[in-house]
Amino acid sequence: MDILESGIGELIQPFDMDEFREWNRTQKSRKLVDKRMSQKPLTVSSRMAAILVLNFMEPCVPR
Amino acid sequence: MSLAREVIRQGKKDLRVCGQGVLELDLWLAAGLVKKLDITYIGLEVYGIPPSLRRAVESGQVETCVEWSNASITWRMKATAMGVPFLPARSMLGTDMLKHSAAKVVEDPFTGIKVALLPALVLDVALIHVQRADKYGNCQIEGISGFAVEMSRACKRLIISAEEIIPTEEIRKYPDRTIIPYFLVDAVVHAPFGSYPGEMAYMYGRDEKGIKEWVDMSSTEEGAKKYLEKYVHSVPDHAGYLNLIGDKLLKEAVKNRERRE
Repeated sequence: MDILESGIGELIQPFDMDEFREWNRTQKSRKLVDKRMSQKPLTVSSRMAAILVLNFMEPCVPR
Repeated sequence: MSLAREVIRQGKKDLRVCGQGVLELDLWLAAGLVKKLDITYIGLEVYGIPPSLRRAVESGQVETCVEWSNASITWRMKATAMGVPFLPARSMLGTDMLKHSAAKVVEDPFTGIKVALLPALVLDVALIHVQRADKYGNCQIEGISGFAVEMSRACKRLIISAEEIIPTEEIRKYPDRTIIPYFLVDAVVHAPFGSYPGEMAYMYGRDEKGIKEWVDMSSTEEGAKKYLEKYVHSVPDHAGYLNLIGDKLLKEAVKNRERRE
């Protein structure tokens, strides 16, 4: 397949889709376990974090 | 916001941040946590480009800032959720945004039109704030959900903060609202007013004065540090933050919430 144009931005998170699929199979449990915890054990590695504060930008439209 | 403040409190560094950012990301930038950005929108809405962002980029603290449209970053996460390495789209074509992204343009083998190939985005950690969750992680969102659906399916670890932790029986009464199922979730944090000083649809409105305080103080590096000291470092946790804000302002925010009627 010929590449007609490429963005100059860095792919800052190289990925392995097979590894991610395996992660979901092996690391995501289907068991119903209590997952409540305080903020203190919160772990964000120095790798990638993704943030989304929902509704922060929602316009105030009367309904 | 409560999770974002806790990340600062814990002193995490060298983050590569993906998504969309308003106040929460601006605080991270001011605190020096961010090394790379893979971003759609970042700004303080009516207040424009944040001074903290400008300082972080111009000083070299943020090493790279890769741009995407809102649609394209959502579809990158959707590609991950689908288990494919990219999705083709027509978003960003013909714009400088494509030039500053990491997308590639090819000719569609079926029709011959140009399409942008959007690489999958696999996240290590995602933080999402929702109105309601049960203790297992089943989450319900009201109002605009952004790219929460795609993000929740594109990350290795998903941390949920919720305004309310409700019984699973209540969740099951409205299964169509459970857009993030429990098996995607790794942790559930109870965080009432977790979006404050931003708003949470139908629960509380935004504290415009509180946001303006950040806008004004963050115009200088020293002011931004004072803000972080007052609202993040001087309190031990989210409960401490809410005590600092006080009942009067929180009740005012509830009074100013968006209403359905």
